Amino acid sequence: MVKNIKFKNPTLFLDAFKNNNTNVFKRLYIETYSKTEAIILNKKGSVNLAKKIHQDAFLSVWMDIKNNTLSISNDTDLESYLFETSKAKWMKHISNESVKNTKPTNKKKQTIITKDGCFNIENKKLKNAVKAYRNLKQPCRELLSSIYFDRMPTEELAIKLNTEATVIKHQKYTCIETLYSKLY
Amino acid sequence: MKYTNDITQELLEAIERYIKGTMDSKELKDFNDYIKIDPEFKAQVEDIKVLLLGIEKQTLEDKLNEFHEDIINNKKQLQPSLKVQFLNHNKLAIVASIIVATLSIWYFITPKNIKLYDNYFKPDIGINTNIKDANSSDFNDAMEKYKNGNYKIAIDAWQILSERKPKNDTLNYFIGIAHLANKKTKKAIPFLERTVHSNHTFALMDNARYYLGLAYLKEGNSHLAKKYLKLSRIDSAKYIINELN
Repeated sequence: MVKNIKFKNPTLFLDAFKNNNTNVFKRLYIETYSKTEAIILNKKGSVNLAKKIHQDAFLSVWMDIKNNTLSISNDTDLESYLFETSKAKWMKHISNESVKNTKPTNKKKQTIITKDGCFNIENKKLKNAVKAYRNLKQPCRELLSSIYFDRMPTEELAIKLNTEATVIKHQKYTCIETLYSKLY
Repeated sequence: MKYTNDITQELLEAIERYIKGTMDSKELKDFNDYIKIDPEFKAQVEDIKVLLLGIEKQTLEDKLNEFHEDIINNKKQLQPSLKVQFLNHNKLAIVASIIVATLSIWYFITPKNIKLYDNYFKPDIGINTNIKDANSSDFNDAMEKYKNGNYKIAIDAWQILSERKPKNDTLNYFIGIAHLANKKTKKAIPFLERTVHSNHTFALMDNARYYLGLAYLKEGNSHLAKKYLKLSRIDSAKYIINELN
């Protein structure tokens, strides 16, 4: 059952986002999903689409917080903000679909214009990084996600894996080297 | 610009300290100076930032999929059985209202501390048992049981070892967690108390304090729960304290 415990302190909530607190993520994701699903199903969308839109919205809020592009005040309700982001993504999806249905697709004309080329280069690099990480071997993925997502200290990880901290540091380096070789 | 993806382990560690903001002022100044004069170095720093962001982003996507699985599984559990589908609408409405009433009653009568505990308690993932050491084989066997969710079997095996080594922090810690996972909070507390009050430094001390705080939370002792959660540097501890205040 969904637990409706409200976050009292948005700054702390932001902190949770910056530190990748899985418990907080899970609660927020589950608490807000049903609302996203309801508006999408109501407009004849599918459950799979609701999942995709909600996850896209979650990732985009996460990125905004990481990049400090989200302004927060004491009365900011992040649950509502996430829901509004989902709604905006859903509206964008509907309008894209209606454009597709009314105009013939001409891929050559669909060039994304940005203020400068940097955004696209950085975005492409991030996509490459994600793809390279997806293709890493499982032990490397687990190690890197424990270190960089869960922020587990090297010494603690060494105990969990019954090894020395220096071994962990070297393994991490080897994994990053492999990842780096696939960035370009 | 010529990009290079050759990076030394020392440089990786330095870039990480830079990203995390843990450099001292002198190192930070030198690092920033180097970024200004060497575009190739600057590009490497940016590359590492993007790589680390990529790791986090994909891990988060994996987690979101796991959360979604939980939603689907919960829905399946709440769905009426085939028999119920053949009942007429009136009966179906009665069954539905009973389910809703039961869940609502559960929600309103469940104290906040139990809800918080349920929300935040997740058993420790356990430790690696690859090392082939005759002395630790019993411990390792029990650890495998623990990892597979056979908490009772793991507890029984570890308690035999614990009688020989009552001051072993790792044993006390995992017996405590296994009791919590096995929903025997009262039994967990003495083992976790022993761990947090041991004299020497235990590497999982923050975790032990966190779990002890959670155990007291479940037992309804907010004072002791806050005490141990405040002592723990685990991130989730401060969120629980915030919600308790």
